[in-house]
Amino acid sequence: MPFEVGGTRTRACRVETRLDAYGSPVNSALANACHPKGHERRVGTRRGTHECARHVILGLFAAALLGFAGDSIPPPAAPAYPSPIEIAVSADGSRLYAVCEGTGEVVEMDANAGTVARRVRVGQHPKSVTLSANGTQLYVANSWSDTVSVVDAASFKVVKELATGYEPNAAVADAQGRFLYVANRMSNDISVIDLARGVETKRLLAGRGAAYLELSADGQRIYCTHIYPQPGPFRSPNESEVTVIDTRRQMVVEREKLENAAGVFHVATANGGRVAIAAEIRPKNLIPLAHVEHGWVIGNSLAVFGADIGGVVQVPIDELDRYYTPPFGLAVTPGNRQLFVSTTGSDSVTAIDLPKLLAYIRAANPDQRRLMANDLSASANYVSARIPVGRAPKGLALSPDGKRLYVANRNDDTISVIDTAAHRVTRTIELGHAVAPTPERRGERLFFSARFAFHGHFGCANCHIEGTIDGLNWDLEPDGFGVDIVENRLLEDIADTGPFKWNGSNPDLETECGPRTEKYFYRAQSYSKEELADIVSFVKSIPLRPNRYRRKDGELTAQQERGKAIFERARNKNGAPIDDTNQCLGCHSGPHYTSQQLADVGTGKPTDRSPLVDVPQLNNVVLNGPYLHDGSARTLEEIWTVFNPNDRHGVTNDLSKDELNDLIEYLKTL
Amino acid sequence: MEAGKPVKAAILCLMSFSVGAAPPPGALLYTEAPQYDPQAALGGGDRFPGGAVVKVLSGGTSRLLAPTLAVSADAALSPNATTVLIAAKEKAGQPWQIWEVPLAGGAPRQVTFGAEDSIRPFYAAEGKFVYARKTARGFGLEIAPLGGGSALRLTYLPGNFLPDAILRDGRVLFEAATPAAVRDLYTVYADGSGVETRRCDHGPDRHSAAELGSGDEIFQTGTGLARFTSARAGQLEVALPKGQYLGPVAEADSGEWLAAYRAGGADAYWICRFPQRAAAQPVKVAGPNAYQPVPVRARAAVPYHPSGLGDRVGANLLCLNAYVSKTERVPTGSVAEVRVWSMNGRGEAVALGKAPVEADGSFYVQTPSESPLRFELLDRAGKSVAAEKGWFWARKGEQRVCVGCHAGPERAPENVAPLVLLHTQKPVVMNKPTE
Repeated sequence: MPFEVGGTRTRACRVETRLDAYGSPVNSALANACHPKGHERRVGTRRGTHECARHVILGLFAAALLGFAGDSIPPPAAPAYPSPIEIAVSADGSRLYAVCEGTGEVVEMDANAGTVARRVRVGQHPKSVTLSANGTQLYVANSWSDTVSVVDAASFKVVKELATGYEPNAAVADAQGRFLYVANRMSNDISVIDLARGVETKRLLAGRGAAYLELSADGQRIYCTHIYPQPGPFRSPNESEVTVIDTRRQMVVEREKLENAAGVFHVATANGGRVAIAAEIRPKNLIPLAHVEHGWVIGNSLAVFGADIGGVVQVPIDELDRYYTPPFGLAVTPGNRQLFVSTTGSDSVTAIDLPKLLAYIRAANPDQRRLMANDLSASANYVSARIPVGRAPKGLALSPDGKRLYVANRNDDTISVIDTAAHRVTRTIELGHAVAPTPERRGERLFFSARFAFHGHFGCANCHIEGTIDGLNWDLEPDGFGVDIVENRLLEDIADTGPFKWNGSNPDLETECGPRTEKYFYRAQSYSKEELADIVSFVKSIPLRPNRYRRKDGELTAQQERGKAIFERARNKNGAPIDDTNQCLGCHSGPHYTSQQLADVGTGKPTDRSPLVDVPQLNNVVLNGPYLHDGSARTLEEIWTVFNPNDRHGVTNDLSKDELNDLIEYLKTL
Repeated sequence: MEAGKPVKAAILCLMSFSVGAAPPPGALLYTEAPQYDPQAALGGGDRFPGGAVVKVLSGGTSRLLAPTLAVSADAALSPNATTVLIAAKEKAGQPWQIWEVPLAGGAPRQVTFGAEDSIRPFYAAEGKFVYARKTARGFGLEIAPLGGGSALRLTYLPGNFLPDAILRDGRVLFEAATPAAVRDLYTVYADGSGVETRRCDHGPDRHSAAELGSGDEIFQTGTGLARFTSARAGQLEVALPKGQYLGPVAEADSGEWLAAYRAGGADAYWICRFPQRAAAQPVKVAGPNAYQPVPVRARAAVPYHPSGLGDRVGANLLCLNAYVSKTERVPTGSVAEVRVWSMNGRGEAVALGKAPVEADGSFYVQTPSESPLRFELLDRAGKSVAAEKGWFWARKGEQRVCVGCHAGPERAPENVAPLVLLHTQKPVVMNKPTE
């Protein structure tokens, strides 16, 4: 019996509205995620449906109580932490601009006094800040708002909002200040925006998870990196790319392949643009994760390429017994003497003697260049210092004279100022909002930290990049070598989706994050009881990001409506009934579209110990590729075109190509 | 679980005694002995044939740590700097046993019992301690609860194994002298798994190692000192004044090194302080005939090792690429099989069987656990292409992967699914040798 959910339900959801893990109010799309407007739910006997009904009843009850108390009493607000993630410096070096993703603002600082001067609110979850060539404007990419805020540097006010693709992560203006290039992390492309007209004029195809941009010194090239690897054949080495754009023609002119790279972050240029350097992690997901030592899990590396190099050479920044992870921000000093790399999980910045690094690469023959990426003793040839900074250092920026390096410490809301000659922190700038950390904030710090893994090799955030995924499947050891290959899943809004792990063997997040992580991932003493409680609190608070495929009014498009009908159908196209257990809703029901049960949908492989897999939640499933328990389906389409020959994963073989597309378009809205 | 010699529960001494104040910062524990041969145990001999006593140097004066014990040595301080583990004899002529003594003074408590020597104790995590116990096959490493309980063997080869330190990563750093290999430094986890050479270079006779505050390891090689750093695959020479150094080095709060040193062969050894400057001269701290310096200070507790040993038969060992070696050049495509060797009770090498080696050099075998193991690569004609010279072991339920044969700890694996696992997920089973 269907029931319509309307305004009352929305009100019920509102009483549960709170600030998310990043300090932002949970948006209306999220508040409506339980039952998006226009979506109908069947009331059945399945747990998820009951859960849904329970939420509504509890919500109504809570709303009634609030009614007694008066609607004016707001829910207690969780503290918001600035969480500076990137930083920029004015051309004269007097001003610093930190973009704070936690509070959705840009903070202006006096670089010499080390004090906060002004603040301006921008969009939701801003991820980058860059200056126009003439220094009069700031461009801030608002990842959840799908906009770029243009901030006037003089008045420090937002003067324009520019529409972008899905989840803009970085923006950089060309040398003439005419066009803005924006990397869209979720739509996997680069928007080209005419700044005078304020409209997007072109969209360039990038790779998966387009994330960071760098304009070359001569202004002719823009380099774009990607935080996720390209979808590839099952169990094959990963590959990422640096997309190279010719700014004059506004075209992609090159795609530099980064072998075995998955997460690639900032990119910088040196030697007048003849050398480019990208910070990357090289995961070892294809070999059994039997232990941690000897760089067994992740290679923290730099990809070096360009005219002065010839091809791409990957070099590690790790050592034999210590790891510096993940390499994120980059800064090259004037004169190309030093390269600085922030390593977020290690709470440090690595200083590299750039001429030594380039000389080391040039001296190597092709075989040696190929092997360099896995030589943990290589970094001794070019690393000159490891500089401890604050918690979770992210973006870097240099003063114009290169004497000071500014580091945005995301998880303690500070900026470290490093003397680049002495290699030490000389000042720490507090960004304010100092409040005692909540359990969620403490847990967030632990989530980013690599100090718990053996030799500080990696942390949760290495694979769950910013709470998401790494786009990889892993061969975890406890099940045996080469068996039970598992895909990495999104962590957003998972509190009520237990059990966890693809075989459902972990009943709760305490088990998932505690003993399992310590024994089979970190291989070292890890969280105390209190720390485990904190990290579980944080994981449970990771919000679901806005769904970009659902219309703002909540209505479905015609195609999505057709897909919804397929998702909810009880009969195939010939009119024959579909068994309850083989209907989509048979497993994918409730607020998270999961029965929270194990099911055999015929996707088991000979390498799996059991064909039963945990029914995954489908919220924002579009982000979660590759698909199926082992990541063997590169796309949503492949789930049914390749891996459902016998209609055991729902009845789909009677669908035409267009109908399957309809179904997928609907799934994207979940 | 492999149980070694039981360690009896502690018997609390009810005798009243006066307890002095804890030594101030800068205090030092050391061993005073007329004669010290740190490597004698590796040959089955006594390191202190003329006896020895552990002393506490504090405020310019020394006192005996355990006056009621006739012989004592090998002081190891607890992380909170309140108790000391020592190897000692209550009466001369008895075997060495492990005792625990309050640093501030008080009755010693015996924690190992038996007819064999137990020496070189170190505090480990979870209320346990690591030490070496003499067996018919030589000194072996064991770990046991300080409060009493079964000991677990950590080494499973014939030869002599002596612990040198518990590293800050929780592993046991030890030195080994086996019939087949040069004396060198190794690490093993606290459950006996993951044994490996510290550097895969069969380096020049390394022993008496200690971990420095920087995480570097400093050790003796010949009559000099050298160290390993995290950044380098090879050892770095340590520039110190010419002379002779004996036994382990320690690090003072000031960062200076403390070592038993003498300038010439006729002199007595003193514990000297060495400023870390090339031209600096050693400063005498304790002596004469003083060795094994241990600065008195609290330090971080050792982390425990969350054992990942599974409930499996034997051990599963996967090699990613047998062609990867930093010392031997094995032509690609030349290897067809791997032969797995073990050792029988008489110490003779016994072939356990063979397994195919894939085109990418990968192979996967299940071996007996707690037994000596080594691999030999064979060509299509069954002729030996390369063979390990030393032995290793694996624990029951252990699963381990190596990059190649003799790849070295500096070599991280390349991210390629090994062919053998794409063909099968079942290892080739090698059965335990029959006697």
